[in-house]
Amino acid sequence: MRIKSFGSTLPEWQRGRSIQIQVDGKAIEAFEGETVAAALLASGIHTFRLSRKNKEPRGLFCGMGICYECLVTVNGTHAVQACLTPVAEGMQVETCREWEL
Amino acid sequence: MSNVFDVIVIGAGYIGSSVAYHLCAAGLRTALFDQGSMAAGASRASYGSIQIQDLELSKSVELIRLARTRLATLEENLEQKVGLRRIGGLLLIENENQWQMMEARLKALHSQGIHSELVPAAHLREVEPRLDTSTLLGGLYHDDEGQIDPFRLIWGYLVQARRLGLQEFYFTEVTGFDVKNGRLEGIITPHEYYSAGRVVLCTGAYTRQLGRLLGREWDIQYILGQAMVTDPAEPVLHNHISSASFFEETPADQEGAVRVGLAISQSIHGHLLLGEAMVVADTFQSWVPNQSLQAIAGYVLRCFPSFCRLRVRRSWSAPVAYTPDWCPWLGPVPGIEGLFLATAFRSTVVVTPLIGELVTKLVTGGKCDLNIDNFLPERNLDYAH
Amino acid sequence: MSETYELAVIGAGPAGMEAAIAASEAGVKTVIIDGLPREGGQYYRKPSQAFTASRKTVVEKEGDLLAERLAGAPAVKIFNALTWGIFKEEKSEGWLVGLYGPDVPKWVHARTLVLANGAYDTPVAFPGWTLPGVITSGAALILVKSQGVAPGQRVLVTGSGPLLLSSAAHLIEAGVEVVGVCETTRLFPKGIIYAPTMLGQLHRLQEGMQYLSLLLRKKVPYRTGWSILEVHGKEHVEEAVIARVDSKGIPLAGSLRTERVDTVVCGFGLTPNTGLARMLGCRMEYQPQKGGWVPLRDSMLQTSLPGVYMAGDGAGICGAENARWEGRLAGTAIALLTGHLSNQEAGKIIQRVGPELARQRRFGRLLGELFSPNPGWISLARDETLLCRCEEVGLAEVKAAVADGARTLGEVKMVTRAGMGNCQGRMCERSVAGAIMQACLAEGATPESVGMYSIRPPLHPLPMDFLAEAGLEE
Repeated sequence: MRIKSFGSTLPEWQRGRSIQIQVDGKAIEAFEGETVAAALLASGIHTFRLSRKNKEPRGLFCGMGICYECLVTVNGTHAVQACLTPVAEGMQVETCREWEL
Repeated sequence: MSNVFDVIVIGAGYIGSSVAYHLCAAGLRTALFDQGSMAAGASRASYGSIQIQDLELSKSVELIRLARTRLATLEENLEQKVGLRRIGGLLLIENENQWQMMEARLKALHSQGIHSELVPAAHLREVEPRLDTSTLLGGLYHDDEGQIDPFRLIWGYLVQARRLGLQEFYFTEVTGFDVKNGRLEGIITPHEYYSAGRVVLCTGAYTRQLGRLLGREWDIQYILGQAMVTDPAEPVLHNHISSASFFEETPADQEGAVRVGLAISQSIHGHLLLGEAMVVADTFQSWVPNQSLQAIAGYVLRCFPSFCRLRVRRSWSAPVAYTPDWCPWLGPVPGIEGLFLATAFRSTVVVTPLIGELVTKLVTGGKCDLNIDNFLPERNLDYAH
Repeated sequence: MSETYELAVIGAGPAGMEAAIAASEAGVKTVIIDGLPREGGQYYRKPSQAFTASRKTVVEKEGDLLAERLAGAPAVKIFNALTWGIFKEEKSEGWLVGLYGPDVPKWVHARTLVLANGAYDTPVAFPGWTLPGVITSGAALILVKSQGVAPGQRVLVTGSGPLLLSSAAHLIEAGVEVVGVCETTRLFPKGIIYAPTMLGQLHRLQEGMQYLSLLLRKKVPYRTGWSILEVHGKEHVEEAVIARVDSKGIPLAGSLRTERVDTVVCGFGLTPNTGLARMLGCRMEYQPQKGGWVPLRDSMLQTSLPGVYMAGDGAGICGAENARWEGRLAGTAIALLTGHLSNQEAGKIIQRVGPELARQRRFGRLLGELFSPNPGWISLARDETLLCRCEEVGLAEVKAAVADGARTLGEVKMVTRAGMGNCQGRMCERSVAGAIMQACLAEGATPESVGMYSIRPPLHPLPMDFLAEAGLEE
């Protein structure tokens, strides 16, 4: 969920302008400046991919681009790290898409 | 733990692990040494390919033929799965000269009972669907080549050898040999002395420096071979792919120059193994120069443009040894009783089970199933000016 | 034509920024490179420029000042650039740095390097840790502080170390219900011995007290000597089981508690990000109180490779203040090395920096001793728990490899494929090493005997077409 009120230990930010992205074919609200991971989590989407061997749900883990768990397909490009990728107007995000060469 | 052994094997790669296993299975008290970990040298960089098309035809046919029969029963004998599977092999032909060479090679292979097929460009995609044939004249194809998992094979030998009493000493450098009156008595490492009447060197590119410890200058050279591995993909490659340029004569390379050949396989786990760059160097180096990465990627994409978005995970470099006539050294070292060489094999994977067996026979004075006169070190061991 | 610099600073966090400022202001031709869109690293991480601040905390203001100083320094800045490999230059004495990113040069030449790659949360494996909803304290802080997004609604915070209180406090202030904080280390009586050192770090004590008082006010239980035991859920975290632990971090029978939560935030300390240093071949040593394997450095922070320096948490965990002082020292050392500062001038700076660093290191030692990664944490994993998340290798497979004779990380990697995934072993190295040591306890296995994973380029997976075109522009 997006934070509505910020306590004193947190900085207070105004989000960028509101945009729309597509996640698994559904329109989702996001804000410029957010990462794909943050936008997905804020919309209640926590499973980003299924593990290759055991097909288990995986999502955000380290949040800083070194664990490679948060991989989603963005505009047709496979294995994009959601925690490092900023949202853009009209972006097409697919979760749990099995990749074919 | 005693420091006395019947046989000491130096080098824990394909050949060394097989030799160690067979010696243990024959009841010999055996030790295995390596300056690094298991598979620290050329074996680490191997694709595990079992090829027939790059066969050296003047001396090695019988060796390879016999070797293949041992491969067939390997998993059963070892009681270990090593990922052995059958795949095809395709040598890509890029120009007229290569075409003529492959025609000649086809005939030569046929005369040895090995039946390859010359496939013109128009039909290449029946053999390898993703191949871009626009710059190719065709390919030499053999449908009965193979593949194993390099680590599973070496590990398989080591696990079984351990059960039979193998002692292993990794990250242990051999700093000297104890030779008295032309007889080998043992080896010396930085902290210990190990005695053995027989020592087998399966040491690839490290063989030369071991020879120097004996005051010999052995004529074994090496180049650095480099390759890389990708993310796993669905089965997209049906064959091991190489290039007929492998057979073309090329002028000697300057140190540091990168030469690129083609070696592409898909592993049983789905990863694509992409190579191969070769660099002449006088030091071992485990990481890959940036020019090699670029050269390999470029060559691969020319053949398989649909791989463009496949991601490369890791690259590596390993020293690959060769002798003056490109045939292995297999047999006793002249002048030093008890010292044997089993190294510099060209098609290492396929001969691995057989060599373990042959070396055991050599070392125990038994009779080999194969005439190995062509491979005796005495033919060209010492560096002649 | 790729540009040539005297110094490339890899990482624009506190250490990197100070190094770039110190060196470039002394006249060293410097470039600073980071994979994030802006400077700051993790400690001073800012949201995108699309967000506007209406109130900043002390840390943000500190970060702003440092960023201003960097902006004013003559160093060239390259952002959104991932360093995937560093190669020795054949012709010159220097290094060739490979970069991957949109609109960034593919290569940068530099005579010297300062590696300031920071650290990442130490991953600890326990049943259910791969479920969506289990995140690191770093991930929680990034989401909350620079994205304005809460990771969940009912959160358990677990782990060990000062970041736990900070994570919990930030989550509470973000409006999240924190059901409890489980600190696995028993802080008393050990902690009392370090009171004098803590007094020298009054501002940190104050910070800690602030967080603690917030937890007390909100009636959030802070349990020491308790740890996460397992997490359950079908597609996502649904409940967490915690248990009391002994001094080794091993769960004690008969002390379980189940909490209904949707998120588990794990903070088990930090691990230095040493991939680049190891890929280059810097000599490393195992120092648990610094977070594990760290590079050997001389008093001027040069590694075993001439011209390669390291600063900040990426060379050993010691906090942001230490990172800044180390950055300044490394930058000064480079300026001296490249002839831009005289011995005298450099000496003056070093005289100032020296005592500050010593003070930071004393504090770092305290934190290290209190919150060093506990070898007992491997006991949290069960046979079916995945240790290698990327290749899905469980503890049972690692134990089987050891039973067959594997004694090093290299061997276990070859046999099980652990460490061969996308993350190049960052997430599993510690756990797999711990599992090997635990299985070989009788033989006296040590971190040194077990070794490290070998790191090779590319440091991050790269598409084929990028590599094919990554030729040197002549």
